[in-house]
Amino acid sequence: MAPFIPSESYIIVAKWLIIFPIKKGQRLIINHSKYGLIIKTVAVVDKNGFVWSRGESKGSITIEEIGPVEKRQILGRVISVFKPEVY
Amino acid sequence: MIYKILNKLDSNKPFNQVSAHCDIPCKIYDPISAQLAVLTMIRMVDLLNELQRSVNFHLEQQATFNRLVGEKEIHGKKVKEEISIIWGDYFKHPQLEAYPELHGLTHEIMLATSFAKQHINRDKTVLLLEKVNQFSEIFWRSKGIPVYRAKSPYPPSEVLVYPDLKA
Repeated sequence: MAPFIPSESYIIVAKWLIIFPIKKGQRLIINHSKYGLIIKTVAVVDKNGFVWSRGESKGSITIEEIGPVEKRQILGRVISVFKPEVY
Repeated sequence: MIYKILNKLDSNKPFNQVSAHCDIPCKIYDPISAQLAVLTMIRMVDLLNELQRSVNFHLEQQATFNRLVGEKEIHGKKVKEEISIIWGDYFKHPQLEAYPELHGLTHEIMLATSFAKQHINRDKTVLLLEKVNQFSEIFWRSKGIPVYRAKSPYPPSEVLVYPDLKA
């Protein structure tokens, strides 16, 4: 299965969208303390407001490995993806 | 077209980069894992056939039987996983155009692996190895690397496709 965001893709990120509530399924740019700048899909927002996210690939780091993310670590929401021509 | 514009802008003034798919795009692919998994399945079949010829089938032989069947199953799953990863993640449109038989071959491998898992049949498992060898040959040729065939230096001593990295 081809990745949703293959290597060498360009993405457009809207920083202002994070003022709205974060919901399951949204793709976010996260500034992670261990993994750096990563794109992940929201799996769940827990009752304490922490965001738990997942990757799209079998090889992605797991929800548990990513851990809970605070809203201040979220830099923006992905609104467009431009993939290289081979896809 | 938008991609080309973005690519041009990126080359002039590099954008920030983020990680997505796989998080570690290591680009490390090698069909040898799948080939060795099939070799292991053939070896398990040979050992099971030897066990079948045992006069006595006591508790210890039963335990050995279970282990051999279990390992054959595990390596069957490994064949499917390794082939799926290379087929889905490595091969791109240009290679698929150059080798149109690849999709059909991958499907044949999946079916042949299922059969090899379900049965204790050496001929069919060796046939699976030949299909995985064909897959391996396509993989290396897609990288412009020639291949050669040689018998593995350990049981079950079947022929594998190897990349000729010295060429």
